[in-house]
Amino acid sequence: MRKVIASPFVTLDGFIAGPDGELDWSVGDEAFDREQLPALLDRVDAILLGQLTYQALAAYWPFTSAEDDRTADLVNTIPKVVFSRTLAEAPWGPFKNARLVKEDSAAAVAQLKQQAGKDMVIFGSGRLVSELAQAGLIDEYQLRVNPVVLGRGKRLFPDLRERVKLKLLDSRTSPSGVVVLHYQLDNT
Amino acid sequence: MRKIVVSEFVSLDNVMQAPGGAEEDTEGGFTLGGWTWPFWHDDMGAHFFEEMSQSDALLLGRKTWQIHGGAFEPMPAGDQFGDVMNIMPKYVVSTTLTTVSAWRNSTLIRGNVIEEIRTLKAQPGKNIVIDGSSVLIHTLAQHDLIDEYHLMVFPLVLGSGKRLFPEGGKKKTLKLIESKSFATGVVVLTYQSVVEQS
Repeated sequence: MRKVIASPFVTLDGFIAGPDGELDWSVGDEAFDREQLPALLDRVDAILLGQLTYQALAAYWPFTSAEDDRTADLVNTIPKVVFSRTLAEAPWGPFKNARLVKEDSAAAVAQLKQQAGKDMVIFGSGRLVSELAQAGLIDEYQLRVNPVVLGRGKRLFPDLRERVKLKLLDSRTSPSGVVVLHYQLDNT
Repeated sequence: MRKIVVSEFVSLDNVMQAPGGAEEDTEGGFTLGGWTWPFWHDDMGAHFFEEMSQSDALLLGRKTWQIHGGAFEPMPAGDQFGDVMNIMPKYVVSTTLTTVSAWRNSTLIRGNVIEEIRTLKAQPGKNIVIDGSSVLIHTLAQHDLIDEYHLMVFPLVLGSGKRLFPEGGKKKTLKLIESKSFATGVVVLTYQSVVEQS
């Protein structure tokens, strides 16, 4: 079965963005971008996004120079699914539109997981991550923990009602002080 | 100058409430207490002793002091954890306690908390360690009195409970000093406070 991997930037106090979606606190992680991100994109054939993260990423990736940037190439060409009740369409610059899902995200993702294909990744998208985590639909977390305490903003798990138990697969530290913690869901 | 070190068990979502037992702290209707136990590993004990060997005082909020005192004071001499905790000098911050005789080697800080702690910091000595004590930690963080965070991050998302870093607190950038992991999936992250350039 296809796996769902959540791969957010997260602050030490559990936020994935400032109150207005700001990411200006992110210290960056060149090693991740160079090695782990392309590897992650290689194992997926779908990118799942909540509305706010979609808007942030769609304003950036399609317009970066993709001449010799394999990562941008992958991000722009991998099919995307956007979960939003309000958007009418979800364009991605000059590339193929993202597919819009307006109904229940957990049901839609459960169905996607049954289909044949590679794994799926979620960037950012706290509410979506929370909804899917609650339904037991996230198989792996690759948390990129920034050395920042933000104090306020949008949480990675804003309304989780049940605890989630994980198993650490790997941890890696970058020179910028980001710790990448890779977990899988522990169903034992 | 002595360092103030926050040494804390936290979940992946920054919750630090009642790590050691169901009844430890149920404030706010918290029912998930005791969440650290499935992940205990002897290397974590070794880490604790190493932490304590670099420290010569504990600084605690009233609640955490009462919980620890209740657990450690009755332990017979010879228990390796009990001995360390009982012998270590303790400073407890409380406006309601009148006596601290319930746990040996304790000193009460009742007023002028920030001044008293600045004085402690200025004395010669080893590190001053805080664990638990969420209210006290929030106050100290506000006054930039925390030098290091030693976080044991457990592979769990709890969803609710008292948080180590307060909602609405100041934005801060820290410096990662070290990270290591234990066989049970607990990751130890060591951070240093960065003096903000104003």
